[in-house]
Amino acid sequence: MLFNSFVFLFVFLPLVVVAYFAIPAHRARLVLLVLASYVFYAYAKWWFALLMAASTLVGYAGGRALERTRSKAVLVATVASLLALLGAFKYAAFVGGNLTSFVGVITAHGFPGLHGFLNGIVLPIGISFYTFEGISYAVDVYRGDLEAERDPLRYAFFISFFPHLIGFQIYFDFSAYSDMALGLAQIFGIELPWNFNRPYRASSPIEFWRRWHVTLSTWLRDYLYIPLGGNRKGERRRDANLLATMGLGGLWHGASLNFVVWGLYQGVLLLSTHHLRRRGLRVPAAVAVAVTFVVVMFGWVFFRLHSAAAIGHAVAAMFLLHGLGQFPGHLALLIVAAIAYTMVVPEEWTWDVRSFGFARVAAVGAVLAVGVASIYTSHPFIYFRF
Amino acid sequence: MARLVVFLGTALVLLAALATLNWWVDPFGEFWKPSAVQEAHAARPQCLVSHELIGGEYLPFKLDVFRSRPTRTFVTGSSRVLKMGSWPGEGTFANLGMPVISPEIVLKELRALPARPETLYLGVEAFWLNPHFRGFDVSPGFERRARYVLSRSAFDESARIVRRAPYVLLHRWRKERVGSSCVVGRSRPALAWRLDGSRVWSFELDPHTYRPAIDPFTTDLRKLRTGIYDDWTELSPTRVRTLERVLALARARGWRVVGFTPPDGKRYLRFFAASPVIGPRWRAFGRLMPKLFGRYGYRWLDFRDARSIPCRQSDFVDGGYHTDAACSMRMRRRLDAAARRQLALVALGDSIPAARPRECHCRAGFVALFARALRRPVVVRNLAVPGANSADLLRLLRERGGVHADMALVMVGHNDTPWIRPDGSLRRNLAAILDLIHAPDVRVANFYEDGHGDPRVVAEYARAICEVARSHGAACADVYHAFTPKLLAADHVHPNAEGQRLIARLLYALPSARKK
Repeated sequence: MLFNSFVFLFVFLPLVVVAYFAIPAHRARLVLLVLASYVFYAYAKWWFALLMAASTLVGYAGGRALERTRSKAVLVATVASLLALLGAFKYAAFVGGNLTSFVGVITAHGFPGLHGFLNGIVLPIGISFYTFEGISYAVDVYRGDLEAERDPLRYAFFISFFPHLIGFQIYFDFSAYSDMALGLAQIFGIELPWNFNRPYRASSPIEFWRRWHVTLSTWLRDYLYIPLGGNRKGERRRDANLLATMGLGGLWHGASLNFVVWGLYQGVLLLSTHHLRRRGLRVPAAVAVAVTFVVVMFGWVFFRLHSAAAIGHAVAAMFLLHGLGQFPGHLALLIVAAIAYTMVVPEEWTWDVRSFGFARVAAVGAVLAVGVASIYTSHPFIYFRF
Repeated sequence: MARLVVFLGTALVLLAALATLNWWVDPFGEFWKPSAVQEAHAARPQCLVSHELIGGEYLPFKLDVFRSRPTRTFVTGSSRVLKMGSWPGEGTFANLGMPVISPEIVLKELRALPARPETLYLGVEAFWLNPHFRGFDVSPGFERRARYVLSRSAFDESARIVRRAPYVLLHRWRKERVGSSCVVGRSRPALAWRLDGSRVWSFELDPHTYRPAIDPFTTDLRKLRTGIYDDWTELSPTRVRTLERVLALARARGWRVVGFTPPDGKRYLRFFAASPVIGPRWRAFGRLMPKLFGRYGYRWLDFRDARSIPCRQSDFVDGGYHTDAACSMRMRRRLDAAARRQLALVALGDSIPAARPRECHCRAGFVALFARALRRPVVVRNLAVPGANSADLLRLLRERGGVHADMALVMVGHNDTPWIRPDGSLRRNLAAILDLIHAPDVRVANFYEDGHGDPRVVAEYARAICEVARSHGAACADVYHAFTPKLLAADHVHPNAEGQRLIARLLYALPSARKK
């Protein structure tokens, strides 16, 4: 169920919101939200909810055990168990597929049975998100940064709360989807962290990653880059840590080699920035923003396209090897508007709706109506061709 | 709170207005409008219905076509059968074809039809067996309709229609003239449907109206005929099973079926034969279909080469995919002839014609033996009900509104003996039964003495049955006099295998009698 689907907007959300505010007791509200979240996950496939319940159970039990023992073995077991679920559903097809291709190259046969089996694996919605939540929770409890949650209901709520789920990867979609998640969470009195902060205003790749998908980059920093040693063990080790972190970060986005390449590319950008800064390179802010924008855009080719041929074709086109092409005139206004929006709108642009007059509130309601009407596009099934 | 109400209220009011306009104008034809079709029926002479009003609602429209006329023969298949129409003056033909149809949709369509005897011409497309081919969704759910009425794209089109034809705001359609024909539609009837379900292009009614562009020939399978042959690696076993279910359904309903595949232009034929992707599948399809239809006792006509119909290359309106009306009707003539060669046989009666193996200890009852002896394609519909007496059979026929067939076999009366006098209800019931059988050849068998009742009563019954049969123009097989106790099964009620063979022989030996 997507936040912008009719079933969510017109059925699920109104029912949950009305029920939430109709129930006065805090604990009953918590039960409602956990149940609603499980319905949300189970909507695509019923067993997705079972998988999340299993992950919740492992995380909860692991947290309690870690609080008692502070044992590294328990931490490893908890994290390994959580990652096993993720690995089985998200990365088995990737590893197995590459393995069969490799064996296929050598034997000319591969593992046809394995290939078919792996192709049948379905990726459960949100599995990366709740797995990473469980891992960070276990690590925090182990470090003593956090007390283990004793109430299983509260822990289940922490893992399952449905506005967490984020599934889009393209900037405006992803950013807007994150904003919807923030708003949805706020309806239930929960404040989720901002995930995007005008990333194309960044004047360096380092700043870009402080503005882009902030929750993920923070997670990667706290639970991967720093445990690997961060920048505490010298420049070379820092570079290696950066590459490893970003490579794994790339893999988190999807089980495909192109995501790894994209992650490594981002890692190279980050360490290049560090080296250039150390050598005292300074450029005017506008140039820095433009250059950052271009190198990040170049990286999206690896993110968006999955085959080497398609990537090669797109890169060649970017370097004008296919000719100058035609400027998409019909998109000019949109491009100018996007640049203006990104660059001109202030960093903090908030409205207090309580100060709005009714006319302005109605105008925002009209915008909502236009937004809802723009979610789906209908096409006529008219057989006007022969 | 007041702001929240204004905010949500404004959005809801605007969305409700949008949905109402889109539903009323229905720019893409997502809602079935039976009253538009009724208006076309009511007009004198009858009008056509513009495609603007039918849109994607093919299934309810086609089912309405079937039900609104005394359909006896119908065709279904893809857009390539849509030019097949009624013969002049023929009111019993219906075209139930739909563009982008698939075997799943055919099955759904046939299941929705009543189980009365029909002749079905089933146009099967080779590309249906491409697992990657997807048929049109003929049953949009609530969410799809909600998406439609709440979409801005539908609103844009609604606004365009209202600008072009403002009367739409008050009347959703009106009668328009296209050439010399009346079409119930609005503003732009690019194509229209006759009330027998066949399709007419507006340029056929008026040469000045829209004529679709012809897709250029291409060997790019992603583009050829909108990609329906692309990535075709096998004859989909699922689709073959669905086709088998279609044929099994037709057989269970007692329909006479002739299968065929519509023709392709020369250039396409050459390409299909040579293509390494299509070629093997194309040939396998050609081998499979006659076997598949034959397994159910049905005929298959392979029209892939248009010359076999015969049609010419110039009979394709688009260079090689869709045939024109003249060629389509030549196809129909071939199908009619093939259907005529296929005999529809109906059997009525009690447990003796039903011939359950556990009673007769035989593999085939007299009905099946009789059909086999005819030595020609026969579609058998055995409506015999164990335990039925003449009153039950009469009720069954009245419920069905009679039966239509080429030949009917009747054996009833055995279960009447304890309750009905021979010159009373049995005579009346049998006479009424024979009146409800619409077949040129009706053969009745009387029954035999099984030693359980009064022999004189059985003799009277046997005589009465033949008298009534002959008085109604049916031939009567005198089983009573030919049957011996040795021909009884172990239960001493039903005939054994030899007894079934005797009844079949007696019925077969009768001269064909034309029922009045």
